[in-house]
Amino acid sequence: MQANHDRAGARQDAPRATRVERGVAVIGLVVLLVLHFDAWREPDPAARVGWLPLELAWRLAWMVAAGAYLWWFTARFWRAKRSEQAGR
Amino acid sequence: MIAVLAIVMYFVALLAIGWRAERGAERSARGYYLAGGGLGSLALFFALFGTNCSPFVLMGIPGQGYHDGLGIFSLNAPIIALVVPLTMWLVGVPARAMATRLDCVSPAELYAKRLDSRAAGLVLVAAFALFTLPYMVTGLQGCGIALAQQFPEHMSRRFGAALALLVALCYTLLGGMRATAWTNVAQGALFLVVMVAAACAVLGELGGPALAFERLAAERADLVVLDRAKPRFATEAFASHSLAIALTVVCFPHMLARLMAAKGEATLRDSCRWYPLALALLWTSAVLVGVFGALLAPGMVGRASDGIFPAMVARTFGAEWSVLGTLAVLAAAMSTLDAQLLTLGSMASRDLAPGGGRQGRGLALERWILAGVGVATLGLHELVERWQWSIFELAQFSFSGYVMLFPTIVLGLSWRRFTATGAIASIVAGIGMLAACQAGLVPLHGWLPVAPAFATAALAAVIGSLASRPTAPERLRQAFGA
Repeated sequence: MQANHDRAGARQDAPRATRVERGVAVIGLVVLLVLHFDAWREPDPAARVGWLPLELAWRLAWMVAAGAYLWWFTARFWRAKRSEQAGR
Repeated sequence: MIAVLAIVMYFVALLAIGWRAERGAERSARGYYLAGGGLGSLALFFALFGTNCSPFVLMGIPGQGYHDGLGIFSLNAPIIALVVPLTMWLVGVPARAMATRLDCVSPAELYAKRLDSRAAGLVLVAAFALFTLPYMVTGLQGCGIALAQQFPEHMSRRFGAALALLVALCYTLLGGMRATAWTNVAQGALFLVVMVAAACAVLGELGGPALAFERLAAERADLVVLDRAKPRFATEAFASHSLAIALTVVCFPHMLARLMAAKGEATLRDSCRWYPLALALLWTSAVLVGVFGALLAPGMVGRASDGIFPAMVARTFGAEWSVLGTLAVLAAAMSTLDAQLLTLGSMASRDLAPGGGRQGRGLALERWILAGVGVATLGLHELVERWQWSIFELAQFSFSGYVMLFPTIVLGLSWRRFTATGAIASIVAGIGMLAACQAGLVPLHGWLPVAPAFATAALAAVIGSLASRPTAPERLRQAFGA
């Protein structure tokens, strides 16, 4: 319990997200969504990445990118939100 | 014999956790329904993950993968992995803070107090119940199928469903949120490990992943790709489905209740971060079991493929260990079912029952109401069994409906000008449009009904709010803080 309080307390002192970071967050989200709706790809059962079918490899790679985005987003914006609330 | 022993031990373990939780719990509605707002990182993560992963994932998704291939993974898993954690951040943080400020226990109570309107709360209760009861039935269906497959000569689907409901009801009655959260830790770990092991075993039976995918491409090329020529994967249907599956999760009342029960923001953030990894593991395995099941056990028609996961576990693990598949399905089903029972019970006792929320009268009323919700679910399950609806179909009905609540859920926590009129207009117009689209009264041009209905709900929320008197400033100060 103490550890949680410490971690929450530490985040209140974190710097706010910059305007550039906010822009990156929005653009990153839009790019991920556009890549998810990839209507331009033609289905090809023979296409592979190693032994993985291209369809599965593409989606797993997308999920890795989404996971990285989320990790960065929560680190920057959760901190910013906390400090903004504390500053009100 | 091993199977009977394993299932009895599983049920006893759940009841023991419930009993232990009951002994340590604070005896108040907030302690019972929200664990006193004290769920730490591990319990919260598995409470969210276990609650969100129902038989829809363990049985419905392998069943659909069996017919539609890897496209089912593309359609669902990536967008859930991104948007669900984002919406948990968007909704979870303010919902938790607001629930504490307004001393709320149920999701509908939170919005009724925030909007200063009992009518808005009642409309939300009705909508939550309308979409949660069928979703609960999918859990019972999963339990019924799994137990009937495990003991074909001794147990019917109906009896299996009733047995699982009874056990879930018992430990939920005993320990409330604390019991369901800690049972979810055990259940989530169990079904995740078994599903991943089943996928590995299926790949092993086919000679390893390289040979398995090679054979799949040669024998069932249609399962290796996302074919936009299929109606399910056409661009408009794909976009509509993505919208529904991504936005629906945070509108589950049982997910909202768990977000409100988080100990702190750090615990919420941890859950958001680890969610995509656990989800990728589970969904990849679930789809692969279904897809390769089509190679190993061809010929299943319609909703019969809902049983492909237990069938593959029995085939690859051997008859003695087939009980692991049954346990995994029971774990997934009951981890959702207990949360749904508890949350519907909380809304019935806090938002509907006369004198709901009264302090110092023990928890007897809450427990009777919870039992009533269980009986109602069993009754609906009986009807659905007669209508022969599949898990996937039922879940899709519920998921589409929940999306109509998204504007209210989000705007209620983030827009001060949002009013009770806006909330009611949004919910009623959204559900009305959804029904009209599903009845064929509105041309859809390839879109699923959820897309125009969501747009209608969002528009009605904004227009209804701007056209009505703002919420009293004093109430807004209480809800949003100074």
